[in-house]
Amino acid sequence: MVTAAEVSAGLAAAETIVNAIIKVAPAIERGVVSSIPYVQAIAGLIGGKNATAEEIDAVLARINAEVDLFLSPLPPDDGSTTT
Amino acid sequence: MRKPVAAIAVVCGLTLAGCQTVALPSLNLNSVAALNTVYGIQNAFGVAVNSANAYRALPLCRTGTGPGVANICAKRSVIERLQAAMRKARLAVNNLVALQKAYPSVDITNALAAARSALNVVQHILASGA
Repeated sequence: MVTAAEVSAGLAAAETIVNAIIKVAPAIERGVVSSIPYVQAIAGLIGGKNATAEEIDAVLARINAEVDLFLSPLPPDDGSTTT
Repeated sequence: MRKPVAAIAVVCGLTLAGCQTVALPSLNLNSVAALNTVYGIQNAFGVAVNSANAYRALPLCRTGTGPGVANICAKRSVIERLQAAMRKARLAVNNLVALQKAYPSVDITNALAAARSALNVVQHILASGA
């Protein structure tokens, strides 16, 4: 028999999880949306479309810009985010 | 008698050599395959970079904590490892593209293997941070 206290505890835990997901959802969504062109290009190759030198140059430029963003330095660690 | 035979041999040899230098108009299947291969690995790298950027956009985990369903965060140590791997992967992919562009008909197997290997490292680190 589940008690009211256990139900409340379960709901509180679920709320914590949902809040955590909502908080980071925009970042995850951005990652998914910006991956779409790459996934579409792979699908095109699988579908038999041949790549061109121009497409390769364009993708390389985009990837290099995105890597630059990733390689930008992290905020300094004050000891609270050492993990 | 030997001189005319030698002369004929030289003429024939030069003729054959001349024929070999004539480029036949044809579709270079190696180049098409290489372009597709390079483009494929580029786009796989693109997905990995965007995953890494999405991971990086998460709040950093507090010291002593790790990511979980109620604590969605990115570990500084994972991001730092990813940055090192990403530098290598970018270099390998750029080298692959440069090689293919400079020598369209050359075998790109080694450069391709290097790019794949570097990309695998990025993907493994990404998986470890999840």
